[in-house]
Amino acid sequence: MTSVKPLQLTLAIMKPHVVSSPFSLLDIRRTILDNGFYVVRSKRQTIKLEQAEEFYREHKTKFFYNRLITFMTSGPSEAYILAREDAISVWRRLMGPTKVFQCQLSNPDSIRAKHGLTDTRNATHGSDSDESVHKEVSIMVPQFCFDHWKQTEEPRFRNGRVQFNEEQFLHFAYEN
Amino acid sequence: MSQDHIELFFNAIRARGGWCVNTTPRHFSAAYNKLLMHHCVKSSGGNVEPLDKTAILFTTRVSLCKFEDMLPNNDRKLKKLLNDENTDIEEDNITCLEMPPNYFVLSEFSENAVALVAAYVVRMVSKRLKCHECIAALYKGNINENRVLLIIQKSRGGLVIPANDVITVCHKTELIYRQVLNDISEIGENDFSQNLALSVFSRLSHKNQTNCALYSKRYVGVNVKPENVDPFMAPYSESPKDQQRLYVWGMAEHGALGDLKIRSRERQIQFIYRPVRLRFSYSHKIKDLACGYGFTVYAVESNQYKLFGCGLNTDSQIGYHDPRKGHPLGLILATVPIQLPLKEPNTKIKAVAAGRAHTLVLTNTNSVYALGSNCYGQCGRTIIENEDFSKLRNVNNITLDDGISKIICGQDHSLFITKTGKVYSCGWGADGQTGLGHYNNESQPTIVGGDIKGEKIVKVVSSADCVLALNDHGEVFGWGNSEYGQLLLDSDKYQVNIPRKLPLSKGIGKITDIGTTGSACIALNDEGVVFVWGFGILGKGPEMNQSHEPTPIPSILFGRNQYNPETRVKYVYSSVFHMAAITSEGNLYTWGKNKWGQLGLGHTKDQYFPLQVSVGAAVKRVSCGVDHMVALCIPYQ
Repeated sequence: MTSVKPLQLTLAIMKPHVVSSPFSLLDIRRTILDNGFYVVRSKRQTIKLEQAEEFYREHKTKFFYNRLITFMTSGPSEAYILAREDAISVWRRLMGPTKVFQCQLSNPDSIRAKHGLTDTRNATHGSDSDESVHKEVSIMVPQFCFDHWKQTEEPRFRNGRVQFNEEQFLHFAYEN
Repeated sequence: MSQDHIELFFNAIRARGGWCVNTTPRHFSAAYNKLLMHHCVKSSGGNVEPLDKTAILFTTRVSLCKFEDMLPNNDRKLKKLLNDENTDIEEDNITCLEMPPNYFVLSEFSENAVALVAAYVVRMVSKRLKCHECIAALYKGNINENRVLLIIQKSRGGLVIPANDVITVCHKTELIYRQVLNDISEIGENDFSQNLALSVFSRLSHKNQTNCALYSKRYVGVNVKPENVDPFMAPYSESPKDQQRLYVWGMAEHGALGDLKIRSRERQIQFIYRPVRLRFSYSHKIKDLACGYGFTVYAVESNQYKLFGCGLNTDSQIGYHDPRKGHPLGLILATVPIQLPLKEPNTKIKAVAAGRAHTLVLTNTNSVYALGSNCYGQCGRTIIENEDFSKLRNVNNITLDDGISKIICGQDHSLFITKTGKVYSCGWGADGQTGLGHYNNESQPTIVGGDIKGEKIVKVVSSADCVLALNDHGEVFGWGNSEYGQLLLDSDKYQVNIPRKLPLSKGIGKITDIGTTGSACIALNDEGVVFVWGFGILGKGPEMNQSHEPTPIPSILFGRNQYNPETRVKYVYSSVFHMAAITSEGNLYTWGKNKWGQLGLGHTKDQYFPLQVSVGAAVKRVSCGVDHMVALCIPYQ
């Protein structure tokens, strides 16, 4: 698949309850691939408290801040850096609205309606803008270099010089 | 009468085309037609095992007319059969021969059809005959015979009951005709009807003319007296009254439905949207059961293994099982015994409860064993950072001073009711669901205060993060998540960390049972009226998805009408996304989200009002998991 427009990056996080349920995880991964996303980085980790606090700093005053932090740090989660044209909006559309109980009535086919359990255990996270992608990636996948992506990897991905490794759930771009 | 046979029959039909699950009426009618014409439905591959040696359906009753029909040599030429009547086979051998599954035998239905043809023959022949005696000889039929049932049903006045002789002639003709059809090429078309007539009458003239009704080898054990007993009713056995039946439905992918996924012919099944009976309850007397997120646990009365589980095991919530040493299974598709470090070998298990990734087990020595994830302290022991629960071997033992009488699991928290009616809690408290006055994780079971202090609590329910409690006077208390108004508080109160008495109006009366979904609550009063409030599918139609105060679901939806004025709801249940109710007759009603067929209604569409689940037994108790359900039943009394 080649693309004319530049690819956009977004950060997707599979929350702990999804990672501990193989069926949900596989189904969401399949959804990602079926919708033409490239998985540029894929990382399984248990998020540390400091990471989570930094990650959700903007929600610090909200009533759900504490439960969000304790939930995200409760077990292994998976972070994916996804690439696609309009990746941010497409991924957010696939996920559906944040609140699972409302999402089930309004967007019953979205990822959150299918695999979310409650408003907190809402299956996945997705960045909402380019700035937050930068910020969130630097917290969750600090090794990722945006400049390297832009100069080297992105053109290869855009031209479809990509191989997929199912075991690592990762796309590799190769030189010609 | 035992309903086993009906169920077996349906299973046989389902199994026929490999549509072992989720059959449609079209499948059914196709299979049923085959059954009527060829009586070849077998019980293998179904979901239910017969409990006795009863035949499934008496369409398979075989009546053999003559021993030469029994010859295994199917490709015998018609000519030879016509001329060569003096076979030497002893009639005693007949029962030993395996039945050739072909045109030699007529099914019950075909016999009826033959009789119908005979009736038509009588009608046509009597128009031509002039002799009154001859006509009279055609009639003298026995109206009580089974094979004229179809005539009685079909007749609109024109058909008559033919004499037995006529039926016999037609019967022979049919048999021989079926044989002829098999090797039609061997016979010239011209002499066909002549040969047919010859053959029929040559056989009729044979001296040993009695109709020897036999049963094929499979049914030798069935003791039937065809003369005076209705063969459709006679051999059915009664079910033992106390024999448990276990039905499961919903998402099968996790393995929470037991060995269905392995056993089923179609291994790709993702979910089962109607109740399927498990064999597990035949061999194990189930004391209690609980559905968690993707797993099921059973407490069993036994001296050996007392606890069984199946399904998701990524946090060792159903024990440590490593067939390959050092590689514990994260998914168990069969119901396996779970080892518990019981101190006394004769300790019995009284109850089980299951959350998202942990299991609680209550024994008759009043101690609780906790398995699975402890990431929020829900197993009642100190939280260890980055603990790997997938390789967890130890089981935590919890005891309380007052003695524990009931255990309840929320998704990630645990609640205990003591014998004196106090409530203890531990686990995730971020929504206040532990009710301890703070929003932190609690790793030690701690007594819950607030409005329930001094009350005798008899029941506590929690499926997600909202908790309801019921005291012995029928008053309801609540704590935890209230984002959708579940706790009937001011709209800006989303989280409550201390128990509050719910301001239910006087008109609702005494509450006898309660339940919570993730976003709504359900309560049952002593008159059998079900009240719901909160957000989501409440069971009052697709338009109504929010209610700020308890509103009743009309009793008529639970089967109470002028014919059944006594029907009332006895128990209510709830899971994160759906609700269920059991009536006094043992009927189960479900409603709510139905993405994976967890309502058991035969489809995967959301159900907006209570609808009865077709479980083939009286439902005693159910357990609702997030995406599956298990029902424990007894036979209809």
